Amino acid sequence: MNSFVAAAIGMLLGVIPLGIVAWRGPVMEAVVAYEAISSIIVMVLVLLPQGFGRSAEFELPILLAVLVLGSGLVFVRSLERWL
Amino acid sequence: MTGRDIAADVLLGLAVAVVLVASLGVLVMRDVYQKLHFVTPISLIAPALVAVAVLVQQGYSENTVETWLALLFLFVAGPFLTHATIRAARIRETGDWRLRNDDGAP
Amino acid sequence: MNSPSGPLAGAGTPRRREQERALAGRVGSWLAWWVLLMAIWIILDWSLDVAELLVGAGVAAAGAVAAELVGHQTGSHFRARIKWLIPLLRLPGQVIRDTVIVFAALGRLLIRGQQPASGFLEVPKAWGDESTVGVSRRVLLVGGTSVAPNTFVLGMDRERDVMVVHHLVLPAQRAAR
Repeated sequence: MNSFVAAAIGMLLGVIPLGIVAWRGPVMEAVVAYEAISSIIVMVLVLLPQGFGRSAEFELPILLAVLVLGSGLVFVRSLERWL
Repeated sequence: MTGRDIAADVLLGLAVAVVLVASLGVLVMRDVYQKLHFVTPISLIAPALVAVAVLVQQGYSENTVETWLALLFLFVAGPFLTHATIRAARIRETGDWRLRNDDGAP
Repeated sequence: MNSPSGPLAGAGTPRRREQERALAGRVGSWLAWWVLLMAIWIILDWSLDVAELLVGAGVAAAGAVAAELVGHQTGSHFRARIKWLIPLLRLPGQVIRDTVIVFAALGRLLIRGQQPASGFLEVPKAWGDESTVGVSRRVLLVGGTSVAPNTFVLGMDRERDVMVVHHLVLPAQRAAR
């Protein structure tokens, strides 16, 4: 296991407290946790291909990074206006 | 282990530390406004450290450029998503985002 | 309720402004989109093979048409001034300083149980006009001010010419500490 894979595992530990907030907190706090988790997952998806040397899988974090903004805005606008 | 490896390891260690501390911040802070302040280190500072770590480790390559592109989207999205989130939270709470007379410092 | 005063306020009357927009402006905007999308294609494809570049050019052209069409429908275009980039140079230092501030606040909460003195503040900031430049300025102000972790923009008030921000640690409290 190299340092990139180790860093990916370390970052995934950060999902635990965020998961607790998403699971137990009010809806807006859950959205905040969701946004943080999305950013962590983008980094994990960058670190794992780098750690395992798989260039073809670098497109996945790019796609997710674009979707983070779109999905986040859909969530917060829906919560602001309708939910 | 080369100097590059050590520099990349230090940067990755810092990125992991930033993520873990900020995640703890989201968990323990009092309300949604305070919690939101701890998302920025996760969506901005840790990605910057990871991007530099990949650059240090790999130099200029396809992987590095794609990493920077992914993390660039995160950098750009972060502030606007934060603004939209705090605004939505405020509107859900009070019906309007503008300050009332009883708002301000606690 | 809240739409008239957001950073994109003024973008709600697009058709009139679109009619006034010169052809050169539309072509320039399309070209900017094409260059951006083509650059992304080259990064993702990582090949300078002519056939692949031609496919990328075609896809980027279609994407640029779609982006320009959306810009036309919503009346939202972007036009920045070079001088606006100067404050961006201060951003990295500000981000690092604010990160120390928010992590210190977390440390004080965990060790001493002391809640951060957070709250909203009104910062005087001129609303500006409803031109493309004016809307772009507000978008950049909101985005740029929300980059550093200790400060987020809630909105800009058109009537009172203020920007409402939220601080995790208010500046006055920080000075007193």
